[in-house]
Amino acid sequence: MYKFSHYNFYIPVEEKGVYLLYNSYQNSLFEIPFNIGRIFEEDVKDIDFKNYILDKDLFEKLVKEGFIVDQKKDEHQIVLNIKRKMFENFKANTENTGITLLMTNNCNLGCKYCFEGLDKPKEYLKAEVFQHILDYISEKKIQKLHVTWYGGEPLMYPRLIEKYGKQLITLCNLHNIEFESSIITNGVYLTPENVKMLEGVKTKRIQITLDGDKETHDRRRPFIHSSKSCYDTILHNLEKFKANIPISIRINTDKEVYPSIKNLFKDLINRKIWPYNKLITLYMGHTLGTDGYQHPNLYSSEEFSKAITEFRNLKLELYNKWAVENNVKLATYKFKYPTITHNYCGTFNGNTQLVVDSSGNISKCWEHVNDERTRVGNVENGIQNEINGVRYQNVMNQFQVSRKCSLCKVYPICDSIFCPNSNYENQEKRCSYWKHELKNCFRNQYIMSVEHPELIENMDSVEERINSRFVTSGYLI
Amino acid sequence: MKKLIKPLVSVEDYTDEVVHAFCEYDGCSGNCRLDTIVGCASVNEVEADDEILF
Repeated sequence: MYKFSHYNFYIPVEEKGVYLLYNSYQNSLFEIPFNIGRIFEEDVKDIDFKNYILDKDLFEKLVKEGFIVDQKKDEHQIVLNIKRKMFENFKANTENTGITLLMTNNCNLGCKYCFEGLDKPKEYLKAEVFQHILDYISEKKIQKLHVTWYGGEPLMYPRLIEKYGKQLITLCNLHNIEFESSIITNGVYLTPENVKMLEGVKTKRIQITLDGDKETHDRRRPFIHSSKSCYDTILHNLEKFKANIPISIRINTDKEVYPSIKNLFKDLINRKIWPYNKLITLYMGHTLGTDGYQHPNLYSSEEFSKAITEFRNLKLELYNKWAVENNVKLATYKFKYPTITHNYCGTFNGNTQLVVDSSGNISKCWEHVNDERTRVGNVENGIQNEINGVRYQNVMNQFQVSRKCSLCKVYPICDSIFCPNSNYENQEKRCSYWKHELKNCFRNQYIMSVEHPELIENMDSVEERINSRFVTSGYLI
Repeated sequence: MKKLIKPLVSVEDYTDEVVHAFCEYDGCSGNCRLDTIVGCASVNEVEADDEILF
């Protein structure tokens, strides 16, 4: 006895006379004649394969490729077991330590969605607290250390980053630890001098934030003590940026910001920032509500998924317009395709992913800093997990998945990061892009592959790209 | 029935091996800090000079 796999997707492309048949368990995509696909889509429940008019070869192929499975196969349980195994493997990798250092809670901007409001605390990470961090690192058996300079606005204290960064490099050299850092900054003080300093402390990535075009950004992210344009200051810094460090520009996106993104791109092009500098890339961050910011302009995950599709189209259109004007090679669409991936936040990773605030308090998640309920210790006395309640322990350390998620057809390919903090706060989990856009995405890409193959990545290349991202032993680092 | 895309690895291949793949989530900012553990395509991937893909 057989049944159709729970993980099948039937995607009609009537104008091309085919159905696309995708299975998220196998992560494979096939094409079948339209008339057969339509029968599958309409008849998937309680099908009797014995009396079913189906070509023998086709039937055998569908079984071989996992679109038809044994009636007794409990696919949900298998996927659940595999996800659990992936989680345990992930937790077992404790060789790499990541420490997010809150240099200060102070900030020069008064973003309207910031939980701190305008009266920012003025504390910064003092030398005696930092010495405890050095001691903590010395005592651990670490192979690789990644420090994220964070805040508040960390570049309000560039000399401290330089001083502490050099101390970390010296310590890591002494203990044969591989060291690198990254920074999350609003970009206002990303001056050539500070960029040079960041290169000196082995900064491998910079994240800055631009909330749309000048008018929108300056309305949402104004200076606290100045009427100057924050947006212009950041773009001025990006114009001068010549270092060999990738910058990702996060666009905190909601319905207020999204309409202004095209103008942002135009400014970046006019000021020879993007796409002139290949190390500068842009992506949309999904603006979520906080205790102090529950705005009607927030996107649902479904709306945000659609916005991602439009953003991609816009980026390609503007890039190619620029490419024609500058006589360089045109960009093409990547054939967007899922990968089977674990989707657990780094905070699950034992006690190796930590956030230390400027007073030395340790949290597992940067959403938890300033929350005494969820601190796991301090740098002077180390991790003391028992100081928190059982529920927090469970949320931060155990494999958990809701019944809704475990039964979801997208679950094997779900890449929406499982956030223990959201779970702790009883927030609804955000769904993956694939949950909302898989059918549209595959359909549109297939049509483009047939009608304009020169505009989109070849499907053979997709396989190569995905295969090259996997290793079959050890971690991919 | 014509194969279009069939990667080497399906979810079953994760059973015994310690295997990780990059996350492809567009909306991620690296807040999950996976980039410090296994790498993160969303944050680290920079278009190569010879082939620009969006």
